[in-house]
Amino acid sequence: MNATRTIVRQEIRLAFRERLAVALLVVFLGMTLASAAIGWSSHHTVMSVYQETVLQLGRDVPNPFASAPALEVVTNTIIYIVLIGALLAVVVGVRAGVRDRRSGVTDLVLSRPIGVRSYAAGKLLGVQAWMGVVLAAALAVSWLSVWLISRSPLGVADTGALVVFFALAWIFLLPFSVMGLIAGTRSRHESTALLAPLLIWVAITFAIPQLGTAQNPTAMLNPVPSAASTTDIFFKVNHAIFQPISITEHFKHMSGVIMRLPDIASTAWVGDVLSLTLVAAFSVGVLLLTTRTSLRRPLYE
Amino acid sequence: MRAAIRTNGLTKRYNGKAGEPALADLSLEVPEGEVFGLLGHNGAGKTTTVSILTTLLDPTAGSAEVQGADVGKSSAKVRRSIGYLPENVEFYDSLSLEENLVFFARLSGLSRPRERIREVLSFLDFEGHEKERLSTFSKGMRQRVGIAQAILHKPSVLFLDEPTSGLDPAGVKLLRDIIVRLNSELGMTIFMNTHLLAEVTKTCTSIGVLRAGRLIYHDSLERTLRSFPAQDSLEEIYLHIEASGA
Ligand SMILES: Nc1ncnc2c1ncn2[C@@H]1O[C@H](COP(=O)(O)OP(=O)(O)OP(=O)(O)O)[C@@H](O)[C@H]1O
Ligand SMILES: [Mg+2]
Repeated sequence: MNATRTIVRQEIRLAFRERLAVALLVVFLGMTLASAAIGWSSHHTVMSVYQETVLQLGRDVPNPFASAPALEVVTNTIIYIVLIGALLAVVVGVRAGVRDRRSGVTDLVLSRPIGVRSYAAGKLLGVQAWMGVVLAAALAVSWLSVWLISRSPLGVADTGALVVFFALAWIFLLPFSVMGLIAGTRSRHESTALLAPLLIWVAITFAIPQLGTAQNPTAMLNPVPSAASTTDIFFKVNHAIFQPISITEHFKHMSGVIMRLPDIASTAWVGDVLSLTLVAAFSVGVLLLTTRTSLRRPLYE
Repeated sequence: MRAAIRTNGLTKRYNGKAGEPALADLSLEVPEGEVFGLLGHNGAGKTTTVSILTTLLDPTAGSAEVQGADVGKSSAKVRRSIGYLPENVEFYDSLSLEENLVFFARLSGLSRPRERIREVLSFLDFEGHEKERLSTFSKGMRQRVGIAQAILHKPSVLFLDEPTSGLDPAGVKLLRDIIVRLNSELGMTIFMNTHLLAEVTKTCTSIGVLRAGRLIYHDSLERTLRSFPAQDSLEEIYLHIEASGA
């Protein structure tokens, strides 16, 4: 336990020193701000159309934004987590996996009284702690920008929803951190370590949704998932196979439920939680299969 | 005298490698308090031997003990009693000397690392660099970092894999003096892989020679120098042993 904590601390310290990790943090916060800016711009447009209409009609009509959920302005953050967040987790995971091998520290660490599993668990917790820092910063940025846009701070319920959303994002990103770590600790070549997890990321984010869990090709870029067409037998079969592991779709749907977005088809979320936690648990299980021999594999440039 | 290291028929065959094993039937005893130098050409099996003794690698056959603990069955106990400096280790470049050492001290179970780090750095005459990042360190300084991390937890046996390779003459001398003092002042048993025979003459109390995975020679340095009167340096003795299989 102590040894695991030592590894976690070390990972966080190293991430803060690493230019790439810090750059990705900045990019992610930038995207969160962009999400808020886009939200603000559409809010602004609709509001001016509304005010124009009120003027022309010469009488009061209900404000369309009065009924809109407060978190609607940050919905694009959902898609940034699926795209940039997952990439960030993969990259930080790969770096954490490769670093000790490149600097020759792996043998040193393994000659200390620490088990291979404690080491792997420490690495993962360290990467996920860094992702926690990123998400917490994004949470703060989102909260502040909603305040700025709607000119009033989020209430307790909406703040809670935002916190739950980012907590969900943390669980959603965990398998990507694990993939990065596994690739980083096992890959024979440093230059190709990113390849395998990136291919899986592309498959989960873009290919699987098209094969039957999302209705149309553009759905994957939409923060709000649309239900799959279930009339076609091809889609039916694929849906049954891929739906449970289509974590990006589950994450998007569950986020819509949390943010109480108006256009989601169903508010059932148990399946989403099951899928996200099972995939996360499975990936942790795979990581804990790491052996001393696999960690000591030589690394080439 | 008690054996610090004892191996019995130790054999290692790497997966998928046909032919002769990397290490074949090594039976060796290194008593406590020795500075043992393991010599051998490139690929002779020196690093393989040290990897098994430091619990990093499982032998294919045979057994090994360090301070009476089996490297396989009681690996945790072995790890607590050893210090290790692998070949070509670079540590964490983006961290300072102190941050690096704190990490290894904590990994070795020290709860108050800073005090001990000061002590070790003063023993190594290496004070004043605590806050500097390792990226600014020379090879010689890095090797001293390597020694520092290896002795933080006061191990009784120290494994050094080619500690002086790549150092300039001044660095070599500095490291040699440190090794001698670790042995004489702190009483550590030292197991060292090396190519540099001049160093061996000045530091080791006994030597072994590996050739293609087999131990072909093992004796005290003193007796070795006496039994080969025709050769006038350890280098010549080594080459003679290596060639003839003594
Ligand atoms: N991980 C490995 N997989 C397969 N073969 C290996 C591995 N490590 C070492 N070998 C082989 O085992 C033999 C012994 O290697 P070892 O590294 O122990 O030699 P060494 O005496 O330390 O050599 P050097 O002086 O070059 O450091 C060599 O033939 C080497 O190619
Ligand atoms: Mg070697």
